[in-house]
Amino acid sequence: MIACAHAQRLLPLLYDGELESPLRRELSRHVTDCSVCTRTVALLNRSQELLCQTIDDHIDDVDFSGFWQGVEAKLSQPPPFWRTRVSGWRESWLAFWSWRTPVWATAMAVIVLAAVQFLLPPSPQEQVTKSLVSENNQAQIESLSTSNPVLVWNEPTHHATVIWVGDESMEEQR
Amino acid sequence: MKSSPALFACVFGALLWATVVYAGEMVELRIETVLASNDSPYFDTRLEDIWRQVSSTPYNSYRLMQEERRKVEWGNQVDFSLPGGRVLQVVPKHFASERIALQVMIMEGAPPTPLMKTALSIKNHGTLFFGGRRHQDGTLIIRIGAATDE
Ligand SMILES: [Zn+2]
Repeated sequence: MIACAHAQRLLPLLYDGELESPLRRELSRHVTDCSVCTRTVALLNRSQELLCQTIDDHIDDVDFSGFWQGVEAKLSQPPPFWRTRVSGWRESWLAFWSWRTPVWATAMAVIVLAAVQFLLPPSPQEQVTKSLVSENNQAQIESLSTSNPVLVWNEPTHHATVIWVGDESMEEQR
Repeated sequence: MKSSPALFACVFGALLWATVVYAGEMVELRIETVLASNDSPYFDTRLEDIWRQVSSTPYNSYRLMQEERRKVEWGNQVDFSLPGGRVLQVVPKHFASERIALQVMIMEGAPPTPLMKTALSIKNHGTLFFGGRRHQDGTLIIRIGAATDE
């Protein structure tokens, strides 16, 4: 038996079709027997209708003429300072926990792979070649090789490049 | 030298004038080594201008351990001794589009073996940081500056 309070938290997921079968069946059964949850589902239906109606009403008024220029401008911006990146990862990590299992499992695997590539020591003397577009103080890196974990970022005030060659304990500190 | 940066600057300025004829063919390298740690808060007043740059690192104590400037010819290798028996090798390669191309290698251990090697360019009078190596109970942060009158 599913508790009503628990059911209430799961209803938006049920509504969006994001629940796995056994839980979905159990929750659906609860909703048919529970007037509170039935009312919540009705409210979700109504708000969905209103949302769709509002979007339909206003879609023609939206000016998309500068949309691609905006996207292109964003794409040409330099990569964010490493802390922003790390906190970005953290936020997406937290967001994944509220997703259904296969989604966050896949996403987690992707994040772990990305992190492994970024943080773990490459095989000895492996060449990491990249060219960073220079802006003001930023260094243009042609090649960088080390068998230790390495982080590269630009300090926020003068944009000078920082190359951090850590040791095995670097990941523990982070 | 460390205790009198003003005197050092004067002497250096005089030397710079004396070698002005060769200035165009030389590049000046400046290496500053800072020990960053989480000891009791300490801030070396000589680090005023580095401070704004290193303050994004999570330490509360910054001590300037050594500072060295050398004028070298393009293509020549310069070795700077770093704390803990480490060696910083810098080769200024060339100057193009207002940028100085450098080859930098950090060696450590006994005998010193390459830890990291990079080829990069920074703008003229620009700086670059290397960090992350443990020393005593802190971490070394090395600032490399390069300038040429070309
Ligand atoms: Zn209920």
